[in-house]
Amino acid sequence: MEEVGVQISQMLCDESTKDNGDVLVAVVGLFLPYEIFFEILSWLPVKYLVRCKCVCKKCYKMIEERSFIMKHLRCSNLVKFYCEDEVENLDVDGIIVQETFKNEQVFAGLSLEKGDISCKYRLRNFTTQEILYLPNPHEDTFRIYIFPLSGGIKLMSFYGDKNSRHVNGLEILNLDKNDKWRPLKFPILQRGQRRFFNNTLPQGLFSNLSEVLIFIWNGCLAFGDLVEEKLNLIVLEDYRMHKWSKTKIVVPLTFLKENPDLKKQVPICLCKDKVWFYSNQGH
Amino acid sequence: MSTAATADASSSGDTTEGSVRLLTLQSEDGEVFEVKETIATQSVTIKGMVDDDCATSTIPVCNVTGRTLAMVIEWWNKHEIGAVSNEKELKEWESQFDTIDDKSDRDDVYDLLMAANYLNIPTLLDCCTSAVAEAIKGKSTDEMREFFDIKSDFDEKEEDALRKENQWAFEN
Repeated sequence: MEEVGVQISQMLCDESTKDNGDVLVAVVGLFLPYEIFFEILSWLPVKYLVRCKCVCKKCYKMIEERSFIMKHLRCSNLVKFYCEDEVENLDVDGIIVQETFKNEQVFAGLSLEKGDISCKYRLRNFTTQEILYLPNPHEDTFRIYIFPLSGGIKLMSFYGDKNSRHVNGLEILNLDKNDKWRPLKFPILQRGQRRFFNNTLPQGLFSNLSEVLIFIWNGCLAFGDLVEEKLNLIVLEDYRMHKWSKTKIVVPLTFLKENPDLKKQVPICLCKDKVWFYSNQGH
Repeated sequence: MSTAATADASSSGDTTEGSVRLLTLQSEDGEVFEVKETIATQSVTIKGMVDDDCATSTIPVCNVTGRTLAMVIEWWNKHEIGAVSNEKELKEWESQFDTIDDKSDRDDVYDLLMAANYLNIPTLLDCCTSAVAEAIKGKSTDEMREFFDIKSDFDEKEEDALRKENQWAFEN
């Protein structure tokens, strides 16, 4: 069953992307242009999008496309909550123990979770609740990050000394291609296309560095802290030029007054005019 | 626009009523409408023409029938910027899109969508796309196919697999 699903996605990925518009028009008998179809579907809740994916291959492909997913995420509500650490039964040599999956990172509606006993990593899609177990990374992995790259999503694992967090190496997993973890040479990566940049956070901006939050602000890396009901942040606008935003940006979050508990949560993603909070309490 | 058309319509196109200029729009099937410039410029396409001084003669609105264009103009009138629009009346007029039950309702909305897209009227486009989305909510995959006139190109096995993958979405 799963194999068929994979085949379909692969088949659709293989088709060239340039024919989107024309072919959909041909398929949709009623001459609705691609962009209108795109707009209509972007209003739909995920449940009906999933149904719509079965309508035809072009619909499937459009809904799976990153540009559509991002548009749909932007159209969703202002504040989203993510609930619960999930407990699952794990069979260890015939004994059933309970394993808790804790959230490690949230990106583009996906949650990266790690089991506390098996140390297995998995990705969960909040809206569809689909869960994808990842192949095991390097045994000394201490941290995995999700990041977007050339239209898809990749995962990067850092391994090395778990206590000092000294990085000995990197592995990369390409989610689109049923991949295995591949080691990357550090710091210069394959094909010379990917490079690492060192940037230093300007001094004296945050009183307590251990409480500084790291997140994505309109596609750029940002650091910030929550003081009272305000989020103060500084954005790395151009990582190549070491260009930071000139002043701290202050975002008033007045709703925190009514929901003080939210302060303990982490604002993970700031996209255009929306702030996303993810909560692991039962909201 | 061809120069012949410009010369031909120059007498009728550039009329004024008080201080408000009237624009002449001609639908695909030849119907002619006179619309206040302040209203018609809700269309980004027409606004562009006015700004570029290309709206002095009859503006042909290709691909849009007289019937649909009349609906678009009704929309413009009700959404005129600065006009004191009657909330209730506006809601009532918009509510005609709430129920897209039969093929003729659907075709009307599709025609409006195409016109809103061609004339680039973001508010009308939003209204129509969300109305269609509302109409799709609650429909099964087969009903969606019927609604969009799409034939499935999945084989049975593929579709079964897709459904099983997301069983939850197919329960009511």
